[in-house]
Amino acid sequence: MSEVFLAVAIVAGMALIAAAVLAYASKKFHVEGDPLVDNVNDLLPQTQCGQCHFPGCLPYATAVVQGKAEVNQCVPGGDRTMKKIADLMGVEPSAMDAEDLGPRLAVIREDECIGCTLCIKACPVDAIVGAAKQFHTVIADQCTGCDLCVEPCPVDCIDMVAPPQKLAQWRWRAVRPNRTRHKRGSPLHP
Amino acid sequence: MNLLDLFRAKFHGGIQPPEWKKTAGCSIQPLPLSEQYILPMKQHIGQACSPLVNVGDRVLRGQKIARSQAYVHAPIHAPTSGVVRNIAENPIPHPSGLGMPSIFIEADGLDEEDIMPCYEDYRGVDPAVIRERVRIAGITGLGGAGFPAFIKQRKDEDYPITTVVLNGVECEPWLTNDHRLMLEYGQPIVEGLDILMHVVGAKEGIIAIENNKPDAIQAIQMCMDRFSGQMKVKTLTTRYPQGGEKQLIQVITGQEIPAGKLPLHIGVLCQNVGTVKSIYDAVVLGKSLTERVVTVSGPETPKAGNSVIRIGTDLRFILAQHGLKQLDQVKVIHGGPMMGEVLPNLAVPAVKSTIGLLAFKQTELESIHEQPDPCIHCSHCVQVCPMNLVPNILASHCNHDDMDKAQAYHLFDCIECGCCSYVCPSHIPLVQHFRYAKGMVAQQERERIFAEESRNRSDAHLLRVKKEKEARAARRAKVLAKQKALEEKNV
Repeated sequence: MSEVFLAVAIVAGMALIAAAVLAYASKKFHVEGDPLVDNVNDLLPQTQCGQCHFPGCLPYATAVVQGKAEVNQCVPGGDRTMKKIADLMGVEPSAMDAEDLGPRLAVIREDECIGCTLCIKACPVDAIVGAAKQFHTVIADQCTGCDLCVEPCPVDCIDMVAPPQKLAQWRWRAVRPNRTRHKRGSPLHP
Repeated sequence: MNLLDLFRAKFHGGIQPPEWKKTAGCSIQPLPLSEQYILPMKQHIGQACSPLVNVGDRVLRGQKIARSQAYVHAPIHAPTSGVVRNIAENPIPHPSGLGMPSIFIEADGLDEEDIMPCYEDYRGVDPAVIRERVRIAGITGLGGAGFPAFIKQRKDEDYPITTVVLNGVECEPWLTNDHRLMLEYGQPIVEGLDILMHVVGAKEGIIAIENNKPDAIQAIQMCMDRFSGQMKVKTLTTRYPQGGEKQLIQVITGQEIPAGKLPLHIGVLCQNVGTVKSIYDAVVLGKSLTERVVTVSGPETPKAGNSVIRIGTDLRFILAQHGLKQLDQVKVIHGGPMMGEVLPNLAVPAVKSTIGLLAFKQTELESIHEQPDPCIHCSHCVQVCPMNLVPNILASHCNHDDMDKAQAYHLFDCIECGCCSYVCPSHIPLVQHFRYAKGMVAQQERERIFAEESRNRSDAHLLRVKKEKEARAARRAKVLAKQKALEEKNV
């Protein structure tokens, strides 16, 4: 009989040690936040534009992980980002619900600006400089083209334009092969 | 074929396109002065320069007019004496047709020159001084790539350079400018090689010339008498792309440069013969890089030939001097036919990397391009790829936008020589796929960096808003507390 008690005691002792190690490890290696949310957030273009109907990229990433949002809602990210998120989340890719207009850039018509600072407050990436009753202007290299500054402007002096093409950013276009099948009657299929 | 050829070191693959070197017999002619010269602020690999002159300044030929603070750059010099008329955006010879800031110089016709001190006895000068001279003379690789020449001339204790290889291969069809340079400027080239050997402390100098230029081989050998024992001409069998740096070094030394490494790592310095002539001009004659030799040829050029052009000359002026004035039905290739690019716009200046201008009828160029058929996996492209890549599989990954797999198949080792496209029986524009993929990878990297920066800015913004809110709440609490205290006092 005593052997049974010994066996139970040994197993219980091992379980206790393992529990202690695990408890220590969970404290020591605790990760703040949800790593999956961070991984999804890393895929997003960080425009903070709100076109996904969430107030920024991180909230959208959180919603995707919680299953409260679809993977196809990031408009500036486009098809490529959608596929990557779907891959990460292990869901089927679905078609984008809105088409991306391509890169945009906000431009303030400075002579019409009244210096109200409303757009500065709206900019999620602090890409607008200016002070009260001074002209404002957009730092073109930092603008994400999110559109959020257009709405609050009381005098409508902000335009969204296509950014000028720069030589350093130019790239060769793709040449896609013509995938039409050879028709019957052609030399290959007589 | 000689039996010895079988044992000779050579590179993998390659092709033998028709040569078309019909300007090989045309001696190098100087071009008359043009009225205006346009100098783009970046004609090299590296950082763009910023202007050192203002509108209205008078400049002399060889005067430095633009420089950068970055290490990798080549300063730009005025090609003739004249007045700076404008500093503005202007298109450059590039397939995009886009432009960059450029300095416009109106020539005054006097062509007064600013000459630096000459080091005729260069063997007695400190190598560091000569290297600095090569740097301030604005010399870039004149073979087409445009890498600043001084950077390669490094005396490194870890990687001592034992051999200097001069590239006189000129494997591209049509081009003959290096051929003519070797014939007519043998002495400067040989002495330039001696300068390079002195700068890097090399014991051996080799000039590599293909066996389709026997007259150049003879001319260079005659100039070499003084340096016999240290220098030799190496005759190579004609093969494209033997003029590629990595291919040439493999043929000469039998050693392959590992992926991601430089010739320096196997103790070799490789320069184009045109570059070396410019180095001689800079060191011995004190002249900055303001001119170069260009082959102007192609079936549509009435007076094809080789010309010395000033950097910044309008391409239309150069073509007109060669008898080509009607340009509406003509397309011009900037560079050689294998690696060059068709220019969308001819109102651009010649730059340091302009090696050739080949004029073709537009219809003739377009008729070459046939509709691509599906890949039949014949592996002809694999057999000719000088970088030992697998172009057919690589192209399929590029075509499906699978950039990770494309990079796993060494996309960035591709030198875009065009051999694979040349031999493809299905007319697949393989190199175009690789160019697209390289650009796409670069764009994705830019987007990734921009997203990261935007995220940091957004985080900083949210933090600031939060702090402001807290500060406001704290102030409010303070005021409320004060009011409460006052009320209690009054009561």
